[in-house]
Amino acid sequence: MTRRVAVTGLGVVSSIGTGADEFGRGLREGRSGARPITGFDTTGFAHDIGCEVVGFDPAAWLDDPQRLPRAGQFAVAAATMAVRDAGIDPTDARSLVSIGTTDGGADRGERIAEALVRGEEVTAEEAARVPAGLLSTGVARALGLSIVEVSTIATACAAGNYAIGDGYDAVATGDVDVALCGGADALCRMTFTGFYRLGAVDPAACRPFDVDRKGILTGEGAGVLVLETLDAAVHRGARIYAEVLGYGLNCDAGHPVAPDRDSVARCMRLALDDAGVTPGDVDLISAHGTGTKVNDVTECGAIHDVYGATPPRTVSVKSMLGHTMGAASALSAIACSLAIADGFIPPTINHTATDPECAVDCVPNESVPATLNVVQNNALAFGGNNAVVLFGRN
Amino acid sequence: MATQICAWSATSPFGHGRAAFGAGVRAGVPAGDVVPDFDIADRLGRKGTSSMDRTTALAVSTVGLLCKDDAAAVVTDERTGVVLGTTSGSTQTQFAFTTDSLTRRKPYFVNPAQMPFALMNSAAAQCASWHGLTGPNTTVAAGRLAGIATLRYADRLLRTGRASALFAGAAEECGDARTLLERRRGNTARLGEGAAVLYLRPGGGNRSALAEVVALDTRLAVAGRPREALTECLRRVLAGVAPREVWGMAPSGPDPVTTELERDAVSAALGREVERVVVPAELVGDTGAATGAFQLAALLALGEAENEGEREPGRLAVATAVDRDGMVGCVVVRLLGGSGIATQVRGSSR
Repeated sequence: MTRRVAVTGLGVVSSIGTGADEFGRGLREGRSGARPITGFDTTGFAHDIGCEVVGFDPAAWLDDPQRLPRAGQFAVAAATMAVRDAGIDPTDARSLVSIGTTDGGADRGERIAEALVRGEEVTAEEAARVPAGLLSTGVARALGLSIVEVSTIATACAAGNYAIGDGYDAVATGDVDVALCGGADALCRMTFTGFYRLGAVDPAACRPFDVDRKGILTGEGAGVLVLETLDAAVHRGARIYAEVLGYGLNCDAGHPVAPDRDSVARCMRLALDDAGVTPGDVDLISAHGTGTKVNDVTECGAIHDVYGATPPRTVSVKSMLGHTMGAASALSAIACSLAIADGFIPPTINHTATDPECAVDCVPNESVPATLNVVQNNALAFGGNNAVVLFGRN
Repeated sequence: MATQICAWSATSPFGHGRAAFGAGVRAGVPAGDVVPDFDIADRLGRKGTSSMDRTTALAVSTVGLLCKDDAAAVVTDERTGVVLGTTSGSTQTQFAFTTDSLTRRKPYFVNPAQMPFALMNSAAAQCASWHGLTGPNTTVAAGRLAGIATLRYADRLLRTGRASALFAGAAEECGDARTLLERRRGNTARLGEGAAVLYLRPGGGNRSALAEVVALDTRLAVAGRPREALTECLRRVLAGVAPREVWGMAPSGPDPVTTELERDAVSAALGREVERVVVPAELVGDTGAATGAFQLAALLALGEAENEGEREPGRLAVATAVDRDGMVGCVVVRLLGGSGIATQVRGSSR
C-alpha cells in the first residue's frame, strides 16, 4: 500500500460551466449558478432558486440517453471528459468506476410517483431508469469498460469524497490501474422539498459563513476525476493536477440530520494522519459549507478544534454551485485540484459579513492567487457520514 | 491475509436470527414473502422509529440480532463500521414523500422526519446510530450485485486498515413501490423481503472464523452476454482451485432462467456440476439487493450443518450474481468451520 496516487484527468458538468477549463474560469470569476428552477414544477413554493445545469445535451455524450436518469447522463459526460482530459484509453485497463450520489435515479422515481397520483401508466422503460447503480454501470458501458469494478456510492451528501477515497485505495493497493471516481446528482423535487420544509433553503443566494445566511440552494451536476499511480502518470508524461495524499471516513452515529462537531473534527484528524501531514501543512480548506446556520457553525467549530485559533483559509464553492448533493464533494475536489494546479483560491461569493461564530477567512467574493501545497476537502452528510480527502501539489 | 467472515445473522420470511434462517435453509421448504412478526415499534421501540422505513428497520434489527446471537464473536471498537448494499433505498418512503408533496394543500406539507429515511444511506447510518458504530459507514447501490460490491468494498477497507471490523450486508423491503417497479420491468418472481448481515474482520487475526473470502471479480457484460462474462469471472477467481474442492454454490437469480445461466457458468468454469446448490430466491423470494448477503448466509448455514458430520473444513463455496443492468460477478469463500469465538485459527489451507 505504498503506491502514490495522482489526479490526471478532470471532467465537470456544473451550473457554472462544463469541462474543467470552463469550470476553472467560473471558480476564478466567482460565477454564480443560481437561477429559477425549471427541472420540476415549483408552483406553491414561496421561492424557487436553485443551481440548475442549463443547455446540457445528453445526446452529445450517449447513444441512448433515455436509458439513464439525468444524474447518470451527467456522470457519463463528466467521465468522458475526464478520460479525454487525462489522455488515456482505459478500455483494457483494470479499472474502477465509483460514482457517489445522494438521489441516484430518484428524479425518475418521483416522476413515477407523480404518474401514479394522476392515474397514469408507468412504462418498463421508466421503471428501468430508477436504480442508482445505473450511474456507475452507465459510465462503464459508455466508455466500453469490461473488466471493471463498478460502485455507486450512495452515502448522501458526502458520497463524492467516499468515491474518491475508494478510488485512491483501489489504485494505491494495486487493485486497479485506473479509477474514475466522483459524484453526480440531478435536481429533484424530493430534496428541494425536504430542505425547504426544514427551513434550510435560502430564497435567493447561497452565502456560507455569512451572518445573513439562510440555507442551501439545491444544485446539480457531476464531477469525475481520473486517478492513476503517480509512477504511471510521470512515466507517460501526463499532466498531474494534484496528488491524493489520503483520506478519512467516520460516522457520527448520532443525530440523523445535525452534524456532530467532535465527530467531524475526528474525521479531519483521521484524514490528516492518513495523509501524513499536520494541520500546519494545510494551506486551504474547501469546506462542506452548505450555508445553513447549523452546518457552518458546527463545521467551523470542528475546524477550529483541529487547527486552533487561525485555521487556513476556508472557502465554500457551494456559494457558486449550490449544494449538488452527491456531486458536491467531487466538484469541490476538482476545485481543489484546479486550485493547486493553477495557483488560486476560489472565493466564497455572496458574502457580506462573516458570522463571528464561524470566524474563518472565507476569501470573500473574489478569488486570490496562492501557492497551495496541501488542500483539505470536507464532506458531511445526513446520517453523520463524514469524509475528508487531502490533496497535495506534486 | 483474506478477509474473514466471523459471524452472521438474518431476518427473513423464515423468522428472526441465524437459527431461524439456518433451519429454513436446511429444511429447504419455501417460506412466505414477508418477515413474520416484524412490527418496527415492537422490535426497536417507539423512540426514533415513528418515520422509519422498513428497509432501515430490517437492517437495524438484524445487526442487533447479530451482536446478540454471537456476542462472543462480535467485537466492536470506534473503528468498526457498516457497509450496506441497496437498489435505490426505500422507494416506498420516497414515493410517499413525493405523493404528499403533490397532493397536500401546499407542496411543502411533508413530514420532515421522513426525509433522512428517504435517502439511500438511511439503513447504514441508522445501524451506526443504533449500535454505536463510528467507523466507516458506506452504502453501495448495486442492485442484485450488491452482495459482491459490498464485500469488495468492505474487503478494501479492512485491508487498508480503515476499519477494524465491518457489518456488511443489505436489506430490502417489499412494499407497493418496489413491487410496482419490479412488475413494470417484467420481473414476475415472488418478491420477498429481509436483511442479511455478515460480521467481517481483517485476515490474520487470532480469531476463529466461519469462512474467509478467497477471491471475487466482476464484469460488465458489454455485448449483452452475461453467461460468457460470468464464466470469465469464475475462471479468474477459480484459477488454481481443484474443481472437487468446490462444494457448494448459490446463484442470485430470482427466476429459473437466470439461475440456470449462473449454474451453467459455474459448470463451464469448473468442468463439473457442483454438489450442493442453494437458491435463496426459491426459499425467501426475490430480495433484490439483499440477495447476495442471503446467498452467503445460506452457504454458511449449510456448511455449518454439514460440517458437524465427518467433512473436513476448508471447502470452497461460490456465490454468483447477474444484474439486469449488465453487471455480473462472483465470490469464492472458503468455509472454515470455526465457531466464531476467540480460539486459534484452524482449517485454513492457505
